[in-house]
Amino acid sequence: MTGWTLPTIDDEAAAWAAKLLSGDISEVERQKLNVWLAADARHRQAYAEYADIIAHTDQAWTMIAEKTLERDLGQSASRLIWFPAR
Amino acid sequence: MSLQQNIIAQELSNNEEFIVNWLKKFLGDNETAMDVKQSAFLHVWEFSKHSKINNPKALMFKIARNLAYNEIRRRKRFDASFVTTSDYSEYEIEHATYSTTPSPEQITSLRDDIQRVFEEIDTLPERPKQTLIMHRIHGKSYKEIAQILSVSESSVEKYMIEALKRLRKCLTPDQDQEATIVYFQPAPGRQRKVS
Repeated sequence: MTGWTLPTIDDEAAAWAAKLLSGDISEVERQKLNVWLAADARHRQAYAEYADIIAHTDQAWTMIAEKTLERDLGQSASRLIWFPAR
Repeated sequence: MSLQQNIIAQELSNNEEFIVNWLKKFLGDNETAMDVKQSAFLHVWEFSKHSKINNPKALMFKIARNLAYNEIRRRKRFDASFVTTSDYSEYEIEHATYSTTPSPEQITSLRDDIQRVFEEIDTLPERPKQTLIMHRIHGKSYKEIAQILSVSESSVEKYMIEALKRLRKCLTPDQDQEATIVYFQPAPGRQRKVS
């Protein structure tokens, strides 16, 4: 097929999200991101959804890590708590 | 040393290897695991001076886990400056992937779209999957992941983009599906007549 595909909003938002996650973003790039976000509400929407999905996945992973730990210890979370001396 | 402290010291030393191995799996390197174990031990010791400890092993784990999370958060903040030569083996990568895949009963306790996210992560190609897990769970930088997978940092970024796009699809199934395609016009002489 002759032709090329322009990046979609999703492509751009994902690229920005991955760039931000690298923790390695220059001031110039940050400015570019701000310009891109300001340009279109759909950009902001897509970008916010990436932030949301990352946050929720992280949260779920933390929960799973805790459940796995409890299982490894063979007891429930309530029993993991120490109690003060009388 | 009180009787309680004696018992605690005994129990913690019995479980030392287990705790260090667990921390190592979580943090990736032995040195940090040993540091975290040591400070977790000191915390338990402090507690034991003024409080009755029901289950020293569990308390030790709880504290060690919190310290390990702090360490990972710290690494993410100082991503660029935190570079270690990692010696992650193939086995460890596989094991990391395996150990973080939730069980069916764990999945059913999650929000619907997050359930779909984990199912989606399971079906990701190997490298995007490893990239996502090493970055989000093990707190590794793109640079470290690049070394582990023997690829460039820009490849790692591409794997991350691929993984993220698949995750977002679970959140909004019909968003941005259609790409804008710009076609070249075929040269007039090469156009075929349709009879």
